[in-house]
Amino acid sequence: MALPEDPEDLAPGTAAERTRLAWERTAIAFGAVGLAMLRGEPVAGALVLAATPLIWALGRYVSSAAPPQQRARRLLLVTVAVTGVAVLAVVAAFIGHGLTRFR
Amino acid sequence: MTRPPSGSATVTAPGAARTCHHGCARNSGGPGGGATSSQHGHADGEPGNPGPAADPGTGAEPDVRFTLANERTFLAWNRTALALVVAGLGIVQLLPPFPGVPWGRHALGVPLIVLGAVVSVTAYLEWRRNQTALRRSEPIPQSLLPRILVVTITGVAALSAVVLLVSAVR
Repeated sequence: MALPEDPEDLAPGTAAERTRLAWERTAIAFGAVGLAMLRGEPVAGALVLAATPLIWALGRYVSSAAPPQQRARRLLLVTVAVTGVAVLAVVAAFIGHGLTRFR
Repeated sequence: MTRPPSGSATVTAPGAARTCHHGCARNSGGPGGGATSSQHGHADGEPGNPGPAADPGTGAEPDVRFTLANERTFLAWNRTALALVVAGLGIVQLLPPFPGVPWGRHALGVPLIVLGAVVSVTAYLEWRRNQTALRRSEPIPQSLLPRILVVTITGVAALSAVVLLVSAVR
């Protein structure tokens, strides 16, 4: 039997599965960044950690087959979350070490 | 042209036909499957490349595998952005100060954090642009992100060499 040009034609469902795994990796990345920030910046770290289940839920419960505007909104949320982490990191870089500053 | 109901899209079966906005069918899978976007005759005066603000809701629903691939690319860029942010923060907070260069850690770390935010926003704009191109059966525009990444990381590498040299001289 000749193999198809695109390997996904053998098992088209793998595209959806790989996308779900990509969302999970992204949620894990948020968790890892939150944990890394937690030591030096407890407040910022807790905020980033709080975003982790949100990202996971976006990938798990909002279907990729949703209407285009809904898909655009959930990806915009990821961008807002990553940009928020960057803003927190810049603030942390300039104004010191979170709660430990006040001890 | 009949647009498939967007809420009912499922992974397309092997060899399933795609329809472009003209209603002409093209084969999205299987050996010898159909014309590529660049071969596809669209000479009705449409813009070649959709701009960053292009609406991803226009045109016909593409093969869901292309939509998913576009989404995975967006997510991969965002993980890269998070890695840049955490690298920048690590430089500022974990490295010992450079002797004689008190601004050294901030000069190296903050650009990486800012680059993380830029990569994330650009990834979203490019996702929109690519989705619009897919829906219009147009070629995918070239990505700006590799260029932005190369220029900034090269700049930060050069700056770190300068900081190390200045620190060694003082």
